Amino acid sequence: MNERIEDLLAVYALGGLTKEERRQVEVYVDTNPAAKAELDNYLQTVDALVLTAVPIQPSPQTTADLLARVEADARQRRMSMPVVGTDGKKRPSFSKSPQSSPSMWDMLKSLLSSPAIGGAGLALAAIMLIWAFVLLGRNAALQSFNQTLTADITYLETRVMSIKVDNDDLLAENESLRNENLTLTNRVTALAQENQNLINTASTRAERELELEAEISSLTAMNNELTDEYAALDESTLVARNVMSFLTSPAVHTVTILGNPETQPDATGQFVVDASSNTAILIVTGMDPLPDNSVYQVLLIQGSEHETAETFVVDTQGESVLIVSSENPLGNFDAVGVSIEPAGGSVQRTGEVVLLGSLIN
Amino acid sequence: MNKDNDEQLITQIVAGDVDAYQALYHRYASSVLGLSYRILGNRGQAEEIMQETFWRVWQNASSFTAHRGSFTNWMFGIARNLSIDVIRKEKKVTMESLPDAHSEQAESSPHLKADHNVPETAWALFQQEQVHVALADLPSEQRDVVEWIYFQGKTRREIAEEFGIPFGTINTRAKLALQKLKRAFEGVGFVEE
Repeated sequence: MNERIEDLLAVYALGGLTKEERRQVEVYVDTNPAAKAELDNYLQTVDALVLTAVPIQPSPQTTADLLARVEADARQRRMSMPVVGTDGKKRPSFSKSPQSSPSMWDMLKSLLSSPAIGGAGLALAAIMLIWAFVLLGRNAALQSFNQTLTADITYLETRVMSIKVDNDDLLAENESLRNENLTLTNRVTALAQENQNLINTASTRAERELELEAEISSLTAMNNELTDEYAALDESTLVARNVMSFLTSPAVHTVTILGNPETQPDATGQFVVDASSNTAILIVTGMDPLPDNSVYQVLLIQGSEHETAETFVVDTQGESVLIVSSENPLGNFDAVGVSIEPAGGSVQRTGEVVLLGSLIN
Repeated sequence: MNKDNDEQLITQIVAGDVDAYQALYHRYASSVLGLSYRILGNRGQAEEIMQETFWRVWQNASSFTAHRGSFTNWMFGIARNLSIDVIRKEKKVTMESLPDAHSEQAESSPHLKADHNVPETAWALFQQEQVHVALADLPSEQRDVVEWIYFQGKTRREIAEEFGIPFGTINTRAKLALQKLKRAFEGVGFVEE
């Protein structure tokens, strides 16, 4: 089956095709019974569409005029049709039979038989004949031209239909590409957003890393401080243990030493000593703080000789606790004192004695 | 529509039988006038078209061939084409919706008032109503195609250009519309199955 022509049958029945399209359909259905049957069905249905129009009675005058016109034409036709006369011969219906009265044709014949009228008529007939030949020629030329135009029109209509189909295809393809473009654009937008989210996340992580590094540095510094503090506390604890051990020994006694009444009247000291030991503990209070280039130094005095021992500084309360040691047993010495010396201490006393106490019982 | 009788009358008309012509005229004149009025919306023009249609039926009866469709196809086709020609000439488009045209013509139709055969009149009215229902039941896009082509005389090309509908779509809608109408008409005996 020719799909295209089959698709045109309904439109043909409704009257929506061009002249050339109708011709194509008619040529096709003339040789295709199935298509003809389908077309007949459509035509039958279209016939019924007339019923959508409510019938209207024509006016009596219209009916009368039409029927009169038809009657007149029917009479004219009858007059021009041949009839068989009573003599058995065929004549025009208006010819005169032997037994009929003179007709209009007889009168016309008699009129034409006059010479003048006949000559004029012949001339007129000749002119008409020549004019007929001219018109025939022109008619033939026009028919040929018409055929050419018809062929051109058919070709152009076919081209237009083809272009229209192509155009429809391109429109559909364009629509498809537009949709695809829209999809891709949306995808690009989504990816850009995703990318931005990743950038934001990375930035946040970098900031967090910096924060954590700073925190680690801070914790490390704290840890170092705590380590130093622990070491200091550890040392202090060791000293405190040694002191405690020394203080609880039964041979230990305490000697009070007093400050120089002129220079440091408020300074006092407790010298906790075991005469047989080389080590003692000195506890001082009320001593004046010294400048940075000076220190207090312990003196171990025997007669006119003395031995310098540990140096120390006091805290803001003027207090300090230190262990004093010598190569000799401390019971060998007569007195203990504290002098002010340059920073680092001196081998021999150079400065003023600010604290002094006897070790002799 | 009396298909066989119509063709018999045509044969007689070809032979010059005025009585046969008058019978045909009285059978279809009101329908032809109604169709023209439906298309043109002008009573005077519709009467002229009706007259010209029947004059051409008289003049060209011998050219009618049942091979191309029934006599009514041919005759209503002449009336429709003449009406469409008037529209094209005046570039006038009637956009009457089916119900409005139906009610307007119903009011003016003397058919309802004339002293006609009651059963025939009743059957005619029933047929009209059924056709209206069948058309109204069509999807709007299919009904539009029928309206545009049959009643407004638009060609496929004009519809495609005016409404941007591809040829293929017009073909399909026309086909579906006529198929649906045929099934509806078969149901009430308007067309043969």
